[in-house]
Amino acid sequence: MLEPVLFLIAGCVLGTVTGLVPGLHSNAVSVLIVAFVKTQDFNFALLIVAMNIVQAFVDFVPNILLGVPDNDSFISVLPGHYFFLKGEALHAIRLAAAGGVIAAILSIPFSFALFLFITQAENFLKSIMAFVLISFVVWTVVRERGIERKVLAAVIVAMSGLLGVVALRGIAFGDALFPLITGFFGVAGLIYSLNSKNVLVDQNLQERNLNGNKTFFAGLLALVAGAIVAIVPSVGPGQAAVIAKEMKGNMGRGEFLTMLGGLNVSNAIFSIVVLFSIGSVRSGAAAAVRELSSLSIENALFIFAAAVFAAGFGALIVEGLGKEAANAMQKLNYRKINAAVLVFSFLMVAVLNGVPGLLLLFTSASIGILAIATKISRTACMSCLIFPTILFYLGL
Amino acid sequence: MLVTPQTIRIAAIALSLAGLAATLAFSALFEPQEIRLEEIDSGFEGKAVKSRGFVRSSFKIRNTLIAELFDGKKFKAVKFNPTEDEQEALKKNSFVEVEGKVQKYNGELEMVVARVRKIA
Repeated sequence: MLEPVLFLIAGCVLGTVTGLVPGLHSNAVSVLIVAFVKTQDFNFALLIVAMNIVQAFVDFVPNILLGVPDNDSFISVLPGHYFFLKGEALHAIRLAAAGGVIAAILSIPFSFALFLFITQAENFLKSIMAFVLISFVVWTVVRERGIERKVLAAVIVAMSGLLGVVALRGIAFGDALFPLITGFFGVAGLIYSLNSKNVLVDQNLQERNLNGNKTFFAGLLALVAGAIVAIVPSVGPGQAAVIAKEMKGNMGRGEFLTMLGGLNVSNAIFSIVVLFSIGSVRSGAAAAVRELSSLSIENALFIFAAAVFAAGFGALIVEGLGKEAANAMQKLNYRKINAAVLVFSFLMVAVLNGVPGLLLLFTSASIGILAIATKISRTACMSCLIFPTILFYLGL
Repeated sequence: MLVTPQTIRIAAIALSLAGLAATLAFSALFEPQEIRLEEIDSGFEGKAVKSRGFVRSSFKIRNTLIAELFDGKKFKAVKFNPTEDEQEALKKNSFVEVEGKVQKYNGELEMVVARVRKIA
């Protein structure tokens, strides 16, 4: 009876590690675990879910404290970095954690509603999905300001989409998802940030109260965004966050950060709901769980309980880590960490996908760097998944 | 309305405790019942069980390994996508412990094996 709990705790510890090491994602660890376990062992499914949820919380610690651009302009920096530069990194981490806690609590009843909705509306959703996805692609381009940026976004969307179609629909590259995603969203950022240096700012470690209404609504919005990611295949949290932000209209940096914290958690929970309702995979963790567990209601309830525990653990561990990390992490050599993670990413792809995988990694990383360098949102790179999905739903 | 960090902490602790309690409850509820193969009847259909027995025969068709277990009564066990270790464990004359779900297939009870461990 205690065996599942031990795996659960091991997952929480692993999630803390993957969350703290920038560039190391629980999806990559999940792939390794599935390769290592080889057979269906439900305890490992619990471990992966716990790892994924805890990482959703802990991710914010390095994201806010590391890689802060050496830049005086607050306008161009990410919300977390904005708070860091004001000496409020700990407050930013707490905002994200609060969003995660609220999203986790609200996702308990919401998951059952989502489960019923997805199972009932599955056929209808399939019939309109291609058009929904095409609208997303068009919106990704149109939302950029100015004709030059629109053209750049269209180029990045087209290149990413084409690469995705070639890699994911062809047989030459085998399982191409890992090198593609690692290239676009991992390696690209790591290479680009090799030039950045640590910015030292004294951090205020005092506890500050949060605005209850704003925090609650940001958590609620995170559920809506998480549901979008769950319902619409190949749309990522980044795109959903921007949609939710535009739905709300006027949203402050603190609210946005709270929503991102909630979205990370709701996305992790809802991907499991989608897996157990219609068997579709919406995340690396869900793909791993499908390999390790039968999709029965009992297992779904078990995993859901594990997710709730992990959410509480994640919030508490972030609280514990935040204070220490707020000052300690600034002293780390960010460039060396990035270089190590970069080498690790290349090795992982080389081992798991061979030379074709490395080719995909280089190509997707190059497109990702182009997006960063031109300040086009990297959500445009999600076209690598959206294009093949559109073709699938169009029956092509 | 202001929310203190203490409130968030309490909510996080409540979540952890609720999740842990539910995990333990499900763990106890869904724990496979240890039972002799000869005691498995249609009342166990859909339930998870853990049993021991000798492998009287086994063969593999595509990705499915079908074994006949015996502990006073023969009982069919099916393992989908078996690993090499599992195939080795389910070889003829092995004594194994199997965990899985009981189901009816073509009117006959069988166990869909989730875990197998060779004892001797």
